[in-house]
Amino acid sequence: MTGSVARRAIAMVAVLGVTGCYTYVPTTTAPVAGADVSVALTDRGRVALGERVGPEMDQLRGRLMSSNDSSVVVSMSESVTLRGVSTKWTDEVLTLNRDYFGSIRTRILSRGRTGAVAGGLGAAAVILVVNGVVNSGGSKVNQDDSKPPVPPGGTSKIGTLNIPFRSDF
Amino acid sequence: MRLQLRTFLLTAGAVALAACSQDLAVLNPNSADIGRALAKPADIENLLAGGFNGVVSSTTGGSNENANNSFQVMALENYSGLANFNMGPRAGLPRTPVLNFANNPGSASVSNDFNGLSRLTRSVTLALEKLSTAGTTLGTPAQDLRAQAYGKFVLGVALGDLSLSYDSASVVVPGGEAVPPLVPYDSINRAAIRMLDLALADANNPVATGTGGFPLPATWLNLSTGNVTQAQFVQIIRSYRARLRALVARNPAERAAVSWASVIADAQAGITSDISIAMNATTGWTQTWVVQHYVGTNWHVMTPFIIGMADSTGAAYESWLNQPLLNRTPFIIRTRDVRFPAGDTRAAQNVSSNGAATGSVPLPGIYYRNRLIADDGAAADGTWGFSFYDHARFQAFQNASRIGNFPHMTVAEMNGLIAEGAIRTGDFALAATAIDRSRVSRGGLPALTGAGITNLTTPVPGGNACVPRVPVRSSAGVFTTVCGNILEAMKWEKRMEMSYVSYGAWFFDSRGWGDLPEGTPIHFPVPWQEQNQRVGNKPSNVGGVGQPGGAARGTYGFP
Repeated sequence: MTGSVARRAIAMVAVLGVTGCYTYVPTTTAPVAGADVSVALTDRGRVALGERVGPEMDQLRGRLMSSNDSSVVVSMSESVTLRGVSTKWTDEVLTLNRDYFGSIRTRILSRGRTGAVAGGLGAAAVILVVNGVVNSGGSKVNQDDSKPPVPPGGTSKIGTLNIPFRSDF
Repeated sequence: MRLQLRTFLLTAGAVALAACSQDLAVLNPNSADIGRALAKPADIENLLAGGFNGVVSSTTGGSNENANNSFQVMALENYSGLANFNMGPRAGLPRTPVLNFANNPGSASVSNDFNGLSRLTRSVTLALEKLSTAGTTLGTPAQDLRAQAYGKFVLGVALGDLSLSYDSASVVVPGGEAVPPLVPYDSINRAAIRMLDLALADANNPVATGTGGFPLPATWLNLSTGNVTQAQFVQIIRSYRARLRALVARNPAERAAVSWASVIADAQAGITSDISIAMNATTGWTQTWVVQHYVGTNWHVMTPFIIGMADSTGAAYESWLNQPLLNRTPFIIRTRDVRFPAGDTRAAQNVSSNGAATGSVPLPGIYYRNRLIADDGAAADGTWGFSFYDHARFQAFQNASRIGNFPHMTVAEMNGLIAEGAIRTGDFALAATAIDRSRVSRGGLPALTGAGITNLTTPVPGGNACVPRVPVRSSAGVFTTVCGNILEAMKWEKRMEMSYVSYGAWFFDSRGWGDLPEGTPIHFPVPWQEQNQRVGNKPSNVGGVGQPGGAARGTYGFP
């Protein structure tokens, strides 16, 4: 693996890792417009919204657009069923009556998880550097980045790191 | 002219009659009318209130033509060669598949639980949906919340039991599809856990203790202790959540991947004393197997495969394991475990059983009886299924015409879950404490606490008289026995304390531990009637040695 490829791979998993470090927490104050929220549907909401968002729906997630005493408006980015099946949405706007949901949680950066992932990535980087897998930035082990070494099998394979994602709420 | 006039009049009359006709509209009072059936708030509450009875009736109660009786013989908890309830074919070694084609002789045992639990999820869902419609209330907000918590609990348990027993099923929930697709067991289990989460949220809502709210009326769970307080109900929900999370695993890899931290947390916050149901067939609450269990050895006898691990000498069990399957000599189990009768001979154990004769109640604390020779019956045929021992713990319940309290969920089960989670997360001290709660007090066995067990290689205390003594099968197929480790001690306690108590008491655990005989079906298929309607007539047998859905050769190397 060349240094630049490894750096790109690490940068990519770092970005993904940070993305995965968000969590939804109960709101102590009314969420403001623009906040990323997760709405837990009630049975009434599940039944009423079934035709619009699909059956068995548990959580609807997205950006809070507006809120008043009787409803909230959410620009949806994701839905999660009672079986945990997640579906991405592309900013479809949905008005939710207050009796359609039991609670709203807001999405925040989880300091603990972010720290853990950052620490893990840092440790992994140190190990890679110490073991010479990644050049620390000066001279390159393989001077020709554009042509990674091709193994005897004929294909070039880049190792991947799997970072577990969690978004508990 | 007259003819023309007649023709005209006839035609006009016919047209007039046809024009005036309308479809005959007659109300069919036998057709299901959900709106009418649930028109009144009391109708909704009544439908929900029978939910837990529906769970029991579809699993351990109701008909004996059920899955549980199969699970008992498949897990070596029971042995019967009778064709009744398809026990004989399910019990046979080597294992054969659960057949799943039209009119096969075992189809009723496959469909019973599936149909009952699926119907239940639909009826509870209808009630919850009706309760959620605008303007509908049972009377007070607390009463509504109590009903919602209970309904979701029933839904969670019903879906959970489906996820334990079947390879797939439909998830019927409020706001779900009219005809939901069949989805795999892990997916059903996630929905079940989520429904229990929601039940817990409703039960924990402070509003639920207001006027008309908790406690649950006594008849809803029909526990021996009567009404169920909010705190008790929360404990029961959490106990079920711990159970369902752990027992869904189909093999050791899935069992290892269970969220054990969650299981421990729920089990520790679960029931603090055994919960028993006040059984009485006339009120619709039954533990149905019991009626057959005590009929005689054709219906029930303990195979030595598992209980042989109590043999503190080791030699007798080891010898038995190495005999040909169809020509095995039953042996006296001499053990330090006081749940078995004491004595070195059959006659001595007859005496210490204090209930050796069929129908007599064993001494308190004795779970297994060494029966009288005269009662051995036709089952004494020398096959691997036969032993001198019957499980007699619930003889008094049987003698009382099965009217009385019968355990439904035990603290020992929670202790087992805590212990397993602790072992898997490296907390051996916690595991030892949890195991000792029954190992010492009920089994009379040496405590694990203080025995210095910090790994899975240290044998349980007891020296040569250790319990359990577990089989080890060599590559040449020869069995020896060794003192079990702390994990085996946990398994032993769970088996002793849960035997014939809960749904799939040995089966679901043995499946996840990898202890089933090779080829044992790890679950049941969707019944062929449902399968044919959904996906057509496709091969869907499950299990058998080397076949899809058949357990791999397990921990003990049983054939």
